[in-house]
Amino acid sequence: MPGPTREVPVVVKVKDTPPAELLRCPEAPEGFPLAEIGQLSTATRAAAIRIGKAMGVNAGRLRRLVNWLQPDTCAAPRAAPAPAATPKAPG
Amino acid sequence: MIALGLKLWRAVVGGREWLTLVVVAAIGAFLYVQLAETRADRDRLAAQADLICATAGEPFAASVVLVADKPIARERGLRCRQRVTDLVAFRTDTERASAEVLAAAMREREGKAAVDARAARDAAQALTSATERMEIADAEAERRNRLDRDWWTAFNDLAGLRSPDR
Repeated sequence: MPGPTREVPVVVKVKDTPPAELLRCPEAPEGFPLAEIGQLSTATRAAAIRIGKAMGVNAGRLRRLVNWLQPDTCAAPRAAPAPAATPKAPG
Repeated sequence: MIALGLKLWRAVVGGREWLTLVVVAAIGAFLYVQLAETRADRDRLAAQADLICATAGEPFAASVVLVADKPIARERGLRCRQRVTDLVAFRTDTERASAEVLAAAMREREGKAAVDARAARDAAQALTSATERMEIADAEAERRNRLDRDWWTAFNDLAGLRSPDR
């Protein structure tokens, strides 16, 4: 009969890490060429702005989520250019 | 009355051996009862010890265990006592380890929440300023009925697109 063995508590930290596919930072494709001068109807412009805004908001949220799950994975987006840097002022 | 007392005294003095026997028998009976009670008590306790130790997983009775292939005699109750000591230590260790893990998880979560709160604030500020610039540029586009550089810059910024200038 073997001698009494001492039990050691086993503490396992369960890491619930999602697949790497889900931890990829949001993509930031290159935007529209600035030189393009065009015309769009008011409704189309409004739709474009809606879509663009939703895209930016979703990307920001995904970045926060990835950083929550794996800290310091996605850097904050580049600093937005100051309005004064634009050559033409409205009006 | 005195005559009766004298008669009793003589009887006592005359039957001393018999009386001694009675006293000794009484003491013997008393001791016998005591012993029987003690034995019953001991058996009950032994049964309890067996039960408790069996529950803990080690026998109460004396036994021989092999330590490094050498038989070692263990006196009665020793293995059981060791087992209970181990169980108590196991419980203590488990509770301590669990508390450490929980505390670490809570600290980690607090740190994450603080970092995320900062990120959320920055994102909200960036969104507000980008939206303002977009509105300004859009009003200008509406007025002049054409999309110029400002409009596209504001749009790329609002949508989180890389500026093609860079």
